[in-house]
Amino acid sequence: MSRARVYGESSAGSPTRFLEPKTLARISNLDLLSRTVVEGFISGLHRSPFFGRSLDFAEHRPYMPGDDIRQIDWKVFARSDRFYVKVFEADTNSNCVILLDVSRSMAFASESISKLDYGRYLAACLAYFSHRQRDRVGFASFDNEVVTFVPPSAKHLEEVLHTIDRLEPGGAGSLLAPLQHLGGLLRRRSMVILISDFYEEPEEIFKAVSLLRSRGNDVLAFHLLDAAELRFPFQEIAEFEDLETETRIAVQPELLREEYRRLIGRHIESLDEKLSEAGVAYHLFDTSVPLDFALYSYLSSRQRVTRIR
Amino acid sequence: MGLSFLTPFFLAGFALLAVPVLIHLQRRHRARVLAFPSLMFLRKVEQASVRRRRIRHWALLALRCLALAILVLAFSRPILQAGATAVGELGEGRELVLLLDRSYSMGFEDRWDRARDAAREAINGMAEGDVASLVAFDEWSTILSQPTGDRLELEQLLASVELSPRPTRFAPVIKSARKIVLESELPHQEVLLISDFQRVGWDRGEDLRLPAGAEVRLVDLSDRDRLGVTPSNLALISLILERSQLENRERIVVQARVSRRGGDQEIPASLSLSLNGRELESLEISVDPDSSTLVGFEDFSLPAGVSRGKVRIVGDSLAADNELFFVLSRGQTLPVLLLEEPRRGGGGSGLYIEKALSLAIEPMIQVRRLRGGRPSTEDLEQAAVVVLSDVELGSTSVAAELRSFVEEGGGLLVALGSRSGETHAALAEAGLLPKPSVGQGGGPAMRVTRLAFLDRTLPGFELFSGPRSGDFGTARFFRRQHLAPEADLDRVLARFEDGGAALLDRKVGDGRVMVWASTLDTYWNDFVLQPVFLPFLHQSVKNLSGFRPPAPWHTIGDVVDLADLRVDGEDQLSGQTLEITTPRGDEVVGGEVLEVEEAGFYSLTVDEEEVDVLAVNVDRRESDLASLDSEEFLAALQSLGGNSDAEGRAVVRTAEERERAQGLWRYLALVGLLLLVGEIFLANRLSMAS
Repeated sequence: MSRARVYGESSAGSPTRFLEPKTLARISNLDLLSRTVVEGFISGLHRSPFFGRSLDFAEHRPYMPGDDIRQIDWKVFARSDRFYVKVFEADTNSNCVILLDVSRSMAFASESISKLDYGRYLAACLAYFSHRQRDRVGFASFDNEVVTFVPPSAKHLEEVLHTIDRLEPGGAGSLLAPLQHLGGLLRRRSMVILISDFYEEPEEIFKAVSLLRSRGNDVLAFHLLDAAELRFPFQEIAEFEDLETETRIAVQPELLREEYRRLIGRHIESLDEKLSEAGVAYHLFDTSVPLDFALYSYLSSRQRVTRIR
Repeated sequence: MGLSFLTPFFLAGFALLAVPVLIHLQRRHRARVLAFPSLMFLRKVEQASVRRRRIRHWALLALRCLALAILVLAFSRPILQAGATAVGELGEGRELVLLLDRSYSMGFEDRWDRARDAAREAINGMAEGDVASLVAFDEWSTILSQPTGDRLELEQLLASVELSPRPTRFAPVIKSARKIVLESELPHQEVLLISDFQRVGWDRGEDLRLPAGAEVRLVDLSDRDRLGVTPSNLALISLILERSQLENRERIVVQARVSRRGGDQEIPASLSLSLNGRELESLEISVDPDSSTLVGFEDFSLPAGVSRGKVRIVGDSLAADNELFFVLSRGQTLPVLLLEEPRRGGGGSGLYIEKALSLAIEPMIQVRRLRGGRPSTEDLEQAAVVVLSDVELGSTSVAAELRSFVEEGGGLLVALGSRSGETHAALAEAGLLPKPSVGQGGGPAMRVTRLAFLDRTLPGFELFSGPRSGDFGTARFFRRQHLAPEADLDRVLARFEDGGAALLDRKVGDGRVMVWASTLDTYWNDFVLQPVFLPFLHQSVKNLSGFRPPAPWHTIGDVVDLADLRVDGEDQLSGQTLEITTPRGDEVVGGEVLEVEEAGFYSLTVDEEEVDVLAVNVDRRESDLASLDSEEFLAALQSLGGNSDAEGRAVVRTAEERERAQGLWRYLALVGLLLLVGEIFLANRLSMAS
């Protein structure tokens, strides 16, 4: 499972508007599209969790009554005198649903770009790539309930992008209720990409994500955090106001910086651990890192894992 | 070691100590607000951080407060009194000045007992070496004792002090206290003022400053803080005494004005009227807070002689203003001799005059008409005023007799008409009137005119000065004699529209002469038909006779001129000893004047025969128990009095000593500035460290 961390310093300037050619060009350099031909999908991005008809051979399995005899591998029968059928990874278009957290905390921005904007760019890129892979692309946004939902469809890219473009920060966030709702809306098994800042206890997040996993969805969790949330660079005494609850706390940052860093580090580790247990791919995005760089890092690591399999 | 301040009002600067504290708190509250996605992790460490921050800034806060406090002390110019003088040079101890309010409002409830207790406590609190002076005051200040350390003597003096019937006034007693303080050679002076601090006692324009350095303590007995409102007090403010005649008996109607100040609830009370010790009537009354009411009694017949009357309120806490004393005697009769000529139709030229004068009440006027004849000497002796209504005297000797009459104090009113030409000349010859002047055409003026001016400053004529109080302009004058006033002798009291004199007044000897340029009947004018004729004639006759209505009462503090006492029109006092019995029963021998000092009746006797009675009442200003703002009063007492301090104590302190005693502020200012520098250094260090 991926352990890619993007804690590095901002290296390539601000993230750009989603679908900006420059961002996409750098992703294209990875030769993702050619790999999809070989592996049936954009291997760096996602792999179909389902078996079906395609050119991608998966494995042999013993013939069972009812199987199409056209699937029997006669060469194997010749060598082993046993009936085996060839199993291929599905080459039909799968569903890719992107879930973006639009709770108020996502509006935070220590620099020019907020987590929500960053998430929107990310979601748009992923939707575009999925569409390029001829997947059915769907999109949902949520805070403590589902705000918008675009059902997965091969023709919905424009609607998805339109929806993403018009997102506004909502209210307080919570994962359990909206994911439970979305689980019911997704009729087919899908690849679900969950983009959020995950300001909940890891146990609660695990419980919410497990709802999607239990329905057979392949889930990817993209954790968005601002650099200030990670490093807590504040100096002056200030009243910190919770964006979601609007409660305030007077804080002298230098006195609690280390403790804060320790707590959020433990939170990230705990998320990684818990989600891995649930079979969910977890990846942390630092919004100070350029979007193309983060995507590149993620896809690279994803690619390595795919090869290993 | 005594510490006092030259500019104590700067001590209010200690309030500035709150500023650093507020700044420290404000920094916390006014810290920049930073939006943050979630306080999920901050909450777990927030308490500890805040607590540590507060503790870290205590040192800085303390330094700032200390610097401010020392600077405030420096600006207050502290004086080290013991340090200013050599030990033993001025002696040790304290100069205590006890100011005890004994005005009659202190008789309200238990104020007087509490006042004496407070004074006694102050006397008992005197230490070895202390001296005290006792000053009792009402509207005047009485220094009962010079500075003494004998507490027994002071207590005996205190026990002898009694309530006074006079009102409160603070200025004299503060002046006394100021004198005592300035003369004191002790290092510490304290003024203790025990009073109910009535608002009426201080005119804001009066200077109440005490010398700088004198400590002032106020013992406020007004109970304003405890009660929340001014205590309720009913007071008899004044009486209206109306006389009337009924079947040759003189009847009096008494109306009493009762006021109530303070309080917030209805309080029932009763009001009684008594005459010569016998109660005539009692009424139940109820007066709303801060209002007054007029209560009328039934009329009664006035007995002969001088009657002592009293109206009294029963059921009010402050007794002194619950009684109002008055004296009444039967009205005097003013004899007027009216000389007239017959007119057509049978009436005389004095008809209107007689009718008008017969209506006078105070005093009643008895008119004796004499037609066509010369007055005898006896006629003149019996008259107080002689009126010549367009008469022909016929003899110059009459003019001489009239001059004698006037010189001896009689009054003469002359109305000029068609028959009075010779009379005018004769009286002018006798010096009673200005010489006749010849007008245009040689006779009386024929042109119709009106009165255009009246001198309302003449005694008795003031009542015409009010609005709608007499329209002299309505009367038309068809004929009139020309009058040429002599500048040094005659005063023009009225003029016609053309500027001609209408009424002249001349003082001759002890008496007066008034001459009217037209008739006082309907022959030459219609003045007698106008409403103003009646009061005009009454006032003129009163003025000519020198009549002054007896005062029904005096107020404590008034000075009564005993030489003016007249009973039945005669001067009873000339050459005889007047004995006066005060309301308390003390007997004193009367002089020319008497200052009345007690409420009640003063009896004046000559040869054991009562010739007059004076009623005396307390000053009603004291009835208002509303109290001063004690803080404002204290501020007035303690306001800067540097000049007086210098004047008074120059004898005991040299300039060097004063300078040495007051020089402490320089050192304090230096220390304060050093502390501020230290504060800057410490604040920078703390800032850099954080």
